[in-house]
Formats: sequence, C-alpha cells, structure tokens
Amino acid sequence: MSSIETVPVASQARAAAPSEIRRLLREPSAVIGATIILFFVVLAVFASWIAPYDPNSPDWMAIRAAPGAAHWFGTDDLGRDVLSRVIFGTQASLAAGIVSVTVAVLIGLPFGLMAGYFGGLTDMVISRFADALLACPFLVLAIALAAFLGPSLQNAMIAIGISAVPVFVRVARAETLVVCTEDYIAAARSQGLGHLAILTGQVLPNVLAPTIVQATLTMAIAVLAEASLAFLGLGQLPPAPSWGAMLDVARQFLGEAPWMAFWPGLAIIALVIGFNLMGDGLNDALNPRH
Amino acid sequence: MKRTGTALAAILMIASGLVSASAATLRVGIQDDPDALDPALSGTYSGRFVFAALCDKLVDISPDLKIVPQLAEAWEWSADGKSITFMLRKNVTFHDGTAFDAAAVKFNIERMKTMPDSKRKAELAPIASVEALAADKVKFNLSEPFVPLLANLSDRAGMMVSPKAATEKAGEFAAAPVCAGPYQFAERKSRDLIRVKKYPGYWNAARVGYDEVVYYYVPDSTVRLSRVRAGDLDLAERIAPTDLKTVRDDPNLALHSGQGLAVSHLMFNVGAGAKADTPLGKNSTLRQAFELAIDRNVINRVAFNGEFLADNQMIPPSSPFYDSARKAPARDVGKAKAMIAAAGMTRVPVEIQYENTAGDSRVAQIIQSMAGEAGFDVKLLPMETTTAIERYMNGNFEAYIGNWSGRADPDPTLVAFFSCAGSQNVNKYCNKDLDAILNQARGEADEAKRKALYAKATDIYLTALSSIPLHHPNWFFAARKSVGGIVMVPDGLLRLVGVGPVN
Amino acid sequence: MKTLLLRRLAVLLPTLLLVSMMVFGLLKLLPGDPALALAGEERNPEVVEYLRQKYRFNDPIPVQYAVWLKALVHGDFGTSVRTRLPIGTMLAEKLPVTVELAILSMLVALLVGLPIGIFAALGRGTPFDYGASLFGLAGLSIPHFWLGIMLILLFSVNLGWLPAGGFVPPSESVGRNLLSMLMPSLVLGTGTAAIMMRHVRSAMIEAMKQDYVRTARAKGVRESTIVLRHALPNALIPVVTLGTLQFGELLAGAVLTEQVFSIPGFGKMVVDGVFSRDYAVVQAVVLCTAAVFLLMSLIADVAYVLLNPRLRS
Repeated sequence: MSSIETVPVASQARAAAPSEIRRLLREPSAVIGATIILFFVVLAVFASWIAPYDPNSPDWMAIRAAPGAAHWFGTDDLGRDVLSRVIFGTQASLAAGIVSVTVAVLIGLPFGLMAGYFGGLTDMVISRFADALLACPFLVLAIALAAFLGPSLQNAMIAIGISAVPVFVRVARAETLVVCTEDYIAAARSQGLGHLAILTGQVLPNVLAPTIVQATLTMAIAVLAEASLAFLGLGQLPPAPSWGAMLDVARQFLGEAPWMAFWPGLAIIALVIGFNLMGDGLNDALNPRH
Repeated sequence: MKRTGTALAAILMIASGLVSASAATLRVGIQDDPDALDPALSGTYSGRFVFAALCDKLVDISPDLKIVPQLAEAWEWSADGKSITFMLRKNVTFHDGTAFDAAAVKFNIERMKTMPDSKRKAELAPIASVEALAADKVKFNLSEPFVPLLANLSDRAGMMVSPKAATEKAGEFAAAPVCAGPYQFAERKSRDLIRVKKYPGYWNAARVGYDEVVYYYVPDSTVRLSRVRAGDLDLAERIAPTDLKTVRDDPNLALHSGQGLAVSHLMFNVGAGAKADTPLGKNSTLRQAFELAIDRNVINRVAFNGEFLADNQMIPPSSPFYDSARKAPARDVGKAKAMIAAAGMTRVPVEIQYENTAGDSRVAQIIQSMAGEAGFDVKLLPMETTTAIERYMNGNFEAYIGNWSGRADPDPTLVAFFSCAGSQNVNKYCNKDLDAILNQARGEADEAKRKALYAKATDIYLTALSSIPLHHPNWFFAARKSVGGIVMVPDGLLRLVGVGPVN
Repeated sequence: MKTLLLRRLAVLLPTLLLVSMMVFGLLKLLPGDPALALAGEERNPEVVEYLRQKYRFNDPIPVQYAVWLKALVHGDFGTSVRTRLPIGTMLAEKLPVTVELAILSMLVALLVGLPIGIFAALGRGTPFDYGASLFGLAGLSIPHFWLGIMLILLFSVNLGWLPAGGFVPPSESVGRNLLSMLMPSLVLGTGTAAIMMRHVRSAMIEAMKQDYVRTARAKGVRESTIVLRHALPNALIPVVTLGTLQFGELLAGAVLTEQVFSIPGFGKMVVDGVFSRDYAVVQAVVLCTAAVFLLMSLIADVAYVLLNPRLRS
C-alpha cells in the first residue's frame, strides 16, 4: 500500500474554463492516463460482450488449465476462465476507485471548507480529528472499518472512503485558507453575502481544482486499497470476481498455476497507472506554476 | 551496482552457511499461533500440537484409535460402569521435579472442573469425585456410566500439570507451563516461536531423540513448505493438499499422511430463530435433494486435489464405530429436481455462510455451482472468523459450513451436534429417539452392542440431514528425510517419543 | 524554533488521545464476540460468561476505555486475551522486527531513489529520464502484495534462492536474518523509492535553475562541481524531510508485506488482532504507530527548518 501523498497545489482565483481543457489535452500524461481509464471503463461496461466466458461458471474438467487457445489467460482453481474474470473484475476495481473517493470528497470537502473558512475552534476540532485519522495507518483503519461493516464490495468502498476523508479535509482547508486572504472574499463579505453563499459561490470553485487533482490521485490509492482488502477477504463477495481476491487465491498455487497471479496483478497496475498519470496531468494542467 | 549486488548476495550466502542450526534441534513449522499454554484453557489444535511435547496424559490413543497407557499404566472399570480405577506409572516427575502421584491426578481433575474459565468442564462432567487410594492408585467416581471418558482423558482433559506450579503461579501458569511430558518449556515469543528443551527426568527419556524442539509460527502453507525444502525447518504440519506433489517430488523430503478425525459438513438451520424459516430448514426432503445435487468426489478432487476423504458421515471411517452400511448416495441431479418439484417448488433459495478460508471458500463455490444445476439458488456469505463464530453460535445462519475437529470417541461429536441440548447443536435439531439412543450408547461397555446403537443413530441423523457431512480432512506433514520415527495418529498431533535424527 | 517545537509537542498528546479514543470506539463496534472466539470449540456458556466478565466486555464502552487508559498511564498495555501474554512484551518483540524492515526498506529506497532521481534531473528529457519517470510511476502503482508474490514466485518457487517468507532473528543468524529480509524490504522499499525519486528529481531540477547555479556556471565552475557542491545539498533538503515522513509511513505500510512474507512484526500483529478481536493488542499497535508517525512528522518539520537557512531566523 502506498501512502496517501497530499499534493501541494498552488491556488489561483479562477473558474474552470475551456482553455484548461485544451491545456489538459496538451499534457501527454493526462491523455495517456485518460486513455487507460477509458479502456477499463469500456471493459467494465461491455464486459458481458467482451469476455469470452461466463466469469463465474466453473469447468470441473479444466482445473488450473495453462494458458492456451481455449483460455488465453488460463483457468483458475475452479476451472473458470481467468481472462473473463479479469475483465469482469474491472467493474469492482473501477467502482471502488470512483465510489470510495466520492464518499471521501463528499465528507472531507465540506469539513475542510468549514475549517479553513471559519477558523478558530471549528478549525481546531476538525483539524485535530483529521490529524488523528491521518496518524492511524490507512490500511489498518480500512480493515477495521470493513470488518465492522461486513464483507461486501459496497462496504469496502465505504471503509476506504472514510479512511481517505482526512486527506480531502487537509487539501480543502489549505486551499480555503489561501482563498480567504483574497480581496474578492472580503469584497463579498462587505456586500453582506452570507457564509453559505460565500463558501459555495466564491470559495468552493477555487478549491475544486486541487480537490479534483487529489481525487484522481486518491482513486489510484483506493483501487490499491480495494485490492488489498479483497486480498484479505474483506471485499467483493464470491463468486463475483475481484482482482485482489483472485490474487489471494492465486497465492496458493504459485508453483503450479502462476498465470492465476500474473494477470490480475497486471490489471491492477495498469488501472492504477492510469489514475496516477491522469492525476499528474491534471496537476500540471490546472496548476499554472509548472 | 550490479556487481555490488552479486557480492552482497554471495556474502549473505556464506554467512547463512556458516551458522547452521545444531543437529539435535527439531524445528517445526506450525500453522497457527497457539493460544494459552494451559491444558485447562487451551482451545486450539496448534496448542494441542505443542502440548504433545510438554504434557503427558493419563492415557493416549494409538493410530487405530485404541486407548493405550501413558501416565496411567492400567485401568479397570467397576462392574456397574460408575467408577474407574487407574494404576499410575511410578517414578514420574513433573518438570519442576515434584512427583506425579494420585494426589496430583486428583488436583488436576479438580482444577479443570472448578477453574472458572476451564474449557474441560464438559469433558469431565461425569466425574463426581476423585479418590487417591494410594500413591499410585486413583479412582474416579462417575455420576453415570460414561464409556467415552477414557477418550476424553487421551486429550487435554487427561494432561497433568504440576500442582505446585499451578498453585504458585496460578495466573501466569500459561506463560510457562510445567507438565510431565518429554520436553519442558523454555521460552515463547508470541506470534513467532515456542522453544522446548528435553526434560532429562522424563520417564521415557531414553526414547527422546532431540535435545530441543522449536515450534515456529508460519501461517502460510506454501511458506511453511518452502522453508522445509530450504532446510530452515525440519518438519511442517498441515501441508495444503495442493502442495503435496511438491513434497512427493522432493528427494530430501518425506510425506507423512494419515486419516484424521475431523469432518467438514454443511449445517442447515432447522430450528434456531427466524433463519430456520426457509424451505431447506423446514423440509428434510429438500435437504435430501440437496445432498443428491452435490458430488462429494468432485468437491474433494477440485478443492483438495482428491487428497481428503469424501464421506457422508460425521464419524470418520477410521473409527471402529463407523457405519459402513450407510454409503454416500451418488449424485443424481434428475432425482434432486424431481424431489424439488414434488415439494411444489422450482427454485429453492438458500444462503450459505462460512469462515473465509481458502478451503471453505472453494468448497462453497463448488457447492453453489453444483446445487444451482439442480435448482438451488445458493448465495454465499463469507465471514471473517470471529464474526462467523458469533453468528454460528447464535444460530444466525440459513446454512453454515462447519469444521469440527472430531474426537477419538463418537460420543462427543454425535451428542454435541445431534442431541437436543448438544453444545454444537446451534441449528437446533431435536429428536427424542436419537437422544435416547445416544444416551444408551455412552453407557454401553460392550463394543459390538455400542456399534449397533451408533448404526441406528447414524440412520436417524442421515435421514433428517440437519447437517450434510462432506468430507474428512487427512493429515499431511512434510518432513526432511533426516527426521525419523514419525508416526501419524488420527488426532494429527506429532508425538515426539521415538522421533529422532537419522542419517 | 523553540516555540514551534513546544507547540507541536503540545498537540501531540491530545492527538494521540484522540487516536486512541477513535480506535477504541471503532474496535468496540466490530461485530463478533471475542469471548466466544476465546472459549474454545466447545464454547461452554459458563466459560463464555466468565470471560466476558473477566475482560469487562459487558461494561459500557466509556468505562472500558477509562480502565484501559488508566492502566496505560501506569505503563501497562494490558494482556492479549488470546495468548494471555503481556502486550508490553509483545510490542518489545515485534517493534524491532518492523523497525528493521522499515530501515532496510528505507535503505533500498535511498539506494534506488536517490541516484535515479539525480541522474534523471541532470539528463532531463533523455531516454533515461523517461525510463526513470516510468519507474516512478510503476513504483507507485504496483500493489506491494503482488510484487511480493511475484518475487516469491521467481526467487523462491522457481529459482529456490531465497526463503519464501518467515523471519530469522538476527540473534540466531545475522546472515539468514538479512536473507529473510531481502525480498520484504525490496517490496516495501519500491514504493518509497518511487516517491523519493520523483521528489529528488524535481528538487534537483529546481535547484539547477537557482541563481547561485547560474552564477557559478557563469564563473566557469565545472559542471560536476556545480552539481555536487551547489545543487545537490539544496536538493537533498526536501529528501531529509520526505525520508523522515516516509519512515513513519513505512512502519504503517508494512501491514501487507508482513502478511505476504509471514513476518512476525507490527503489521501482522495488528491485522491478526483485528481479526481475532484482541482489542488491547490493536490499540497498542495503532497507538505506537501513530506516535511514531506523529514524532516523525515533527522531526521532519524541525529538520526542514534547521536545514533551510532562510527559515532559521
């Protein structure tokens, strides 16, 4: 498990504009990252059409069959097609990346905004909690939460999401602090705008860009975390395929069926690279300092 | 960079070669970290595995499940079966040098019956009182005839600890147990290793081959095996069935295998709370259809490389009380479908819970697939162990894959699972006739008559099928060829008397 | 400087207290009755109830917490309910294992991350730089447990060079100890090496743009001297900070690596603890890890100030 790395992003008062999308398209890493993610999205959405076999139907006569013409990636311990399971496994991993980060942003962003905007006691309470959560090992927290909620993909996503909340609290708080020193916030205040209006109308749009960058990078970590939880038996319920769970099973057959371990791992790496590249690209495009 | 790496590796290789373990140490890889090392408290197989070195028992079991002497040299039942007298081995001392005698036996039995968190209470429940008749003679008075008592005394309930140590160190006894076995406790690093060294005063010390035994906690079966292959360990217990080929192919290793007492079975909730209210919970015909829908041999072949024993009974075939007349039915999907139709259904839903381990997970998925073909819509619910145990004990499941370690005598297993008040009867099956038969059998000293009673019991529980037995796991140890004298016993414990290095 | 240190130290304890409360609360919410898990296969109801009383599982959670905290203040971490061994002793046994793993991993990270980062920065835009970027990306993206499995497959299963797992204490044999730590530290170090490489590269690029480098260059100082004397020391400042921070991360990140290689360290202890509901064990490990983590970030901040002449005043 990689650690969650907060990316420092300089903030500028600006709204999203078409020019930024053009800038994004000039970032090769963003384009490659987006292509990889798109590839997996297509795999996930059209899995039933793309996969050569039913991912869950076993073949007792072809247990741990080596890769060949019938099964390109071989079969697993129950004679199921590994290629089809890798393709269908995309659904769990993508969902984990997107849903858990959405959960984290939805909780973390408002708290971060409040902490940065109101300061004082609000800031202290929120920041202490965020610090305490950050000090706990991320994966241990996710494991405990997942064990608490019970095994299922949905619960694993919630557990990862909650564990990632403090990252977004930090990012949003730091950006809000910077934004709040800007003249136009003081101007808005003097015009008698309410806190909520300023927060949503003036602060939020400026905090959004670094949050999106952080979210994309956190998706990479969430995909890894889901795989880790599934590896420990706290994710997708069987027989539905999940890359991490496939690796857990594969570990028992390293000598005789190494193909069971190879492909799911490769899929995880590819998807995580996609999110990381996309995050790097977004960072470069939305962050004019570079 | 590359050259430095090679040099570093070379240095490491040399360094590792220089320091090889001394020849008289037996290094054993065990799958679980044992719990409390006190026979009264222990509840794990790995604990028993270590006790085989530390603590001798009143009696032992032989490979063919006969009761044989250990600390007791002989015993005699009274005519009415309500008392048993043991003649104790003389000149036996505990590891602290104190004498093992009738008073020590009395102390131990009473300790295990009265300690508040003793796990031996049920096993010793029929013992009403213990009398020390002489230094080497002790009599147990029973509240009712109880033939399985000897089998119970062949396990932790019969392990004798030093009364002196148990009294003086009451709370911390488990941290440094003092018994009368071939090896005495030396050190324990939790979740790492347990070291025991030869006890020179052991009554059978001449047959103890190693000076020291170290039990290393290595949870992963593949890792355990690879360490034996590398020579880091001399022996590893519970090798995964899928790894057996590796052991057989390695010229330096010997595979020691033997039939076990354990059983894996699919329990249906037939009477515990709301979860019993399912088609399968209410209708034994549907459960029979379920049995016909699955193929035990396929489960065994696919999940365990065919290395376990596919079987339809709770008692393993190695037991003298196994009912060989009751064969497992062959898979018959057509008949299963017909039985479902006769019950007025087309699809039968059921949710199977299990502890999330590699073996059970495979078994569950195979059952799901096979039962699905006959018309059972199986949902799977793997649970991490602690949660699974709680749900199991509370009857909070529709179906559950149970793993029972088994006992040398059929009584504890059958009573626990099928008598109305049985401790494992969490799915709440109850049949008064069966209760009566089981009760009669535990007081029946004649083996042939007892066997006939268990045949009747088997008929009843296999017709009701509140639980479908699936298979009996076999024991597999991988050992270096240099370890001699290993004898496999159905309880799967490594007895160290007679084991020693060979060239 | 002093006020910074004092302020940070003052925050440390309340944060740790908060960590312990949150972890305690979360653990107590977990389903599964530890008394049942402890009561053995027979699970005699009397024994189960006795265990619940003995370990105060029946008390209200705040009471349990207060009891735990009171013992902790007196230096008592409690007893593992599973093994009945004192947790203080367990920690003393496990901490060195994980610290060794973390140190060796950091060594791997430095040996791999530093040179690649420096040379990538110097050869910006060259194929080596692109290769380095790819390495950085891969290092961040490879799941540790998969890398571990692949290394076991290659070096243990196929080649038979290295033990597939397990831990040999250095007291038994230093050589075999290092051998058993080789793959785990490679696995754990890779991610850190990638992070290190990325930071060193950008810090180095930044440093090479600075005025003093331009001045030196204008004076005709040799390029190698510029790199070694001027750019590198400045580029290493963030590395010190990052390295300290990452060390705390490594301790926490050892969870799955220890799982894959069956290493009896902190990570394994805490995962096993969660699964067997050994509350006090999990509490102790999380608290220790959090304390190390917070201390490390404090040290990182102090080091940052100390190493930055501009901030020192």
